[in-house]
Order: sequence, then structure tokens, then C-alpha cells
Amino acid sequence: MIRTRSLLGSSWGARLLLLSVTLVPLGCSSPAERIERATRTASSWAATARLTSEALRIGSLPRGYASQILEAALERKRQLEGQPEWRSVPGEIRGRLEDAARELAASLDEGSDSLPRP
Amino acid sequence: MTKLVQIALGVFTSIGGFLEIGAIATTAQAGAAFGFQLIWAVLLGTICVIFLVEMSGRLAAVSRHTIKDALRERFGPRVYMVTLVSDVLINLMVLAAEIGGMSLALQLVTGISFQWWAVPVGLLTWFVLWKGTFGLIENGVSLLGMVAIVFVVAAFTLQPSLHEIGAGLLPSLPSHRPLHYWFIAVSILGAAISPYLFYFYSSGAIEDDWDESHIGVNRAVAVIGMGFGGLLATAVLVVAAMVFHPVGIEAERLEQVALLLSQPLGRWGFYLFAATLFICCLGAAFELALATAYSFAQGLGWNWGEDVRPRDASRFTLVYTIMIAGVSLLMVSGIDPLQLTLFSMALTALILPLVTFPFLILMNDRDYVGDYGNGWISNTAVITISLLASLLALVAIPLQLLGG
Repeated sequence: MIRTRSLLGSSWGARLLLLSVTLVPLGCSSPAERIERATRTASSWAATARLTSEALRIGSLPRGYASQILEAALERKRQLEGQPEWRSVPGEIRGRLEDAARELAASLDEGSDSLPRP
Repeated sequence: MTKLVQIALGVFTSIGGFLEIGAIATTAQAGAAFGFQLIWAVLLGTICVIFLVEMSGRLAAVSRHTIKDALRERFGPRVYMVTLVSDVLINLMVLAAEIGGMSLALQLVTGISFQWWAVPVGLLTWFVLWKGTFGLIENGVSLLGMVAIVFVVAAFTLQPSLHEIGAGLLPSLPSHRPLHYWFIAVSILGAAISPYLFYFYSSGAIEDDWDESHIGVNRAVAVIGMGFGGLLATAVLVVAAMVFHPVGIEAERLEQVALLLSQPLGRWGFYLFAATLFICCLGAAFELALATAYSFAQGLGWNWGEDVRPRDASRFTLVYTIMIAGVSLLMVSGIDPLQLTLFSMALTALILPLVTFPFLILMNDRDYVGDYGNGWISNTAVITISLLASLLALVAIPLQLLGG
């Protein structure tokens, strides 16, 4: 005989919800964390653009894909530049992103007039 | 068909079900951000999913019930409805991510934005489900999914340190960004232990008419198939740890993840990545759409079956039709597939106990499984891993949401 029983009615759900709500304020990031995040993001996109340039140069990537990466890198750069913490990102990192985007654009530039410019 | 062929087909099915956008995205992010340090999370998820898949096949073979069917019968409509609502919400998010993954694979190759591909990709998914048979879906896409082995080839080509991989198998505390570390760990667990996978698997066992003679086949499929799926996911993590981690690439967008294979394998690596992403997401989209339709039909007593003509199972067909249409239109809006994937995987981990605990009760109920009930090892492993994943998710999700 198959029985039917209820699993509901426990207060565990309410307790977990309370714990979750209590922990939420801990997640708010400080200005220093926001600067660190912006630095990391800029550094990551600089490395992405550089790796793409190198791969493009040795023919390991199609040009269409490399131009998608360039567009994405420039879009991310624009977003970062619109944030107040961008001015606190070390100049070296900002320069690295600028240079990497320019380098990728130059690698793509040969034979194309419709590529985004850094 | 011999049992050996059934095992082989089942293994292919498991590979298709295991490696999808969730596993690719979470393991790539893990390798990029933390090197080999999060391999333990893949291992833990693989162990848990082996147990759960084996259990779902055993339940179907012995009791001739799918999980949903048995849940409704054993616990009544309230528990069934709770699991149905949570499944549908998660499945919708994950299906949207899979449609996004396929669209993005096409964007990588064609340069046309993924939003334009969402509707054609949704139509393709729906058309194959409408016209195809269970065998076609189970075997056809899953055989194509073997292309994912390219990640293992890439990992070998890069010659990673076995010592570092071994160290990553043991859980360790992060040296930096603890919040992100735990969020990615939770997302990896959510990606591996996807409830839709075992709902689909138990329904498939019924569609394939399994009985007690399939217990051995089921065990082999669960262990070899899911184990191999775990190996593929580990390979993605290893490649990301070798290619992205040393240069500081974070893999915040899927376009970046496509760079993974071009370094070890050149231009072919790029195309194989796009093919792997497309095929694995397509396989997962089939499984998600069917698993959701199965969940409705089996609990509400509708006709169901992928081998049944759509007109004979109209409500079953309607569920996956609405679902695919809805999420395809959602992806047209331009939601970032990677962010959607990460959060849906973490949410999956959060609701795991809701899914696994009633299932465990079924697997210990002799009315259903007779002498084939669970042993203490499988009970303990599933309870521990589900609770761990859920508690980590409970803490990591709100913190990640607010802390970015």
C-alpha cells in the first residue's frame, strides 16, 4: 500500500530565509573593493586583447572572432571609464588596456575599414 | 540490442547531459580565477550526480515509476507542486542559458549578434523535439557531443602539473576573493547536480522500457558516463587554469572563454570550441524541455512520451512548446548568457535538498524499490553533498549579488 505523507510544515525554510537576510548586508562592497574589481577587470581585458592579438598574428583565430573580442573589450573599457572608481585604477593598468586594444585594432586593421577604434 | 551497446549509448547520453553551458562556464571561471584550486568541487559534484543518476535509473527499473510520478503518489500533490514550481523556475532559467549558449556559439563563428540567433535556435530545438524520437535525441545529439573530448586533448597538450591537479582534488581555503571562490564552488555543484538530468534519465528509462534486468546497465551508465562527464568538466577547468589564470583573464564573458582552445589547438581549437558549445547546449536544451514537460505530465496524469505523436500527447507537447518559445524571446532581449548561467547554477544548488530529500525517502521505501533500496553510503553522500551545496549557496548568493 502506498502512503501519502506531508513533508511541509517545518520551520526550517523560515530559519534559512532569516539567516540569508541577516547575511545580506555583509555583501555590500567597499570603495576599495570596487577599485580592486575595476583594476582586475581592466587587467583581464588587457590580457584578453593581447592574447587575441598574438593568436591572430599566428593565424590561430579567425578575424571575425578577433573583432568581436575588440568590440567587447572596448565596450567594457567604456563602461569602466564611466565609473567613479576608474580614476583610482593604477595608470599602468589603464595604459595596458589602452595599448592592448590599440594593438589588437592594428592587427585587425589590415584590409578592413569597418573595425571599431580604441 | 545487447547490454553492451545499451551501456555505450547510455554513456554518450550521460556525456551530453553533464557537459553543457553550466559546466563549461563555471569550470572555465573557476580555472581562470583560482587555477586548479576548485577541482574538488567538480569531484564532489560528480560523486553526487553518479549516486543520483544511478538511483533514478534504479527507481524506474524496479518500480516502473518515474521520479515525479512516484513523488506525487508517495507524498501527495502539495510536495509534488512544491518540487514542480521550483523545477520549472530553475529549468526556465537554465533553458534560457542553453539557448543563449547555442546562440553565442553561432555568434562566435558568424559574427552576427547572439540575440538574432535566439529565435532560430529555439525553433530548431522545438522542431527536433516535435519531429524526432527519443532514440534520435538520446543517441544522435549525444554522439555528436563526443566532440567535447577536445577539452581532454587540449589539457594533455598543455601538460599540466599532476601534483597541482592532485592538490586541487582536496578542498582548500581560497588565498584571495573568498566570496567569489565559494560562489563559483556552489555554481559548479549546481551545474553538476542538475535535477533535470535525473528526471530526464528516469523518464528515459521508462520510455526505453527498463526492468530489473537493467540494474547492472544502469550502474555502469551512471558510474562510467557521469565519471567521464566529470573528467570533461575537469579538463575545461585545467585548460582555463593553464591558459587564463597565468595571464589574469577572468572569463567574465563567454566570448573570452572561446579563446581557451585556440592556444593549445590553434584555429581548429576555436571552431571545435564553438561546435562543442553548440552541441552540448542543444543536448541540454532537449533534456531540459523534455524534463519539464515530463514533470507536468507525470504529476498531472497527462499522456506523455517523446515517441508518442504530438497530437496524442498534446498537453505534454504544449508545455515544451511554450517553454522554448518563452525563453527564446527572453534571450532576444540580450540577457548575458554567462551571468544567467552562473546564477541559475547557484540557485540549483540552493534548492537541491528540496529535490534530493524526498527522492531519498523514495529510494529507501520498500514499497517502491523492494530489495533494491539505498545503502548507507549513497544516503550519506547525497545528504551531505546536497546540504553542503545548499548552505554554501544560501550564504554565497546574496553576498555575491550585493558584493558584485
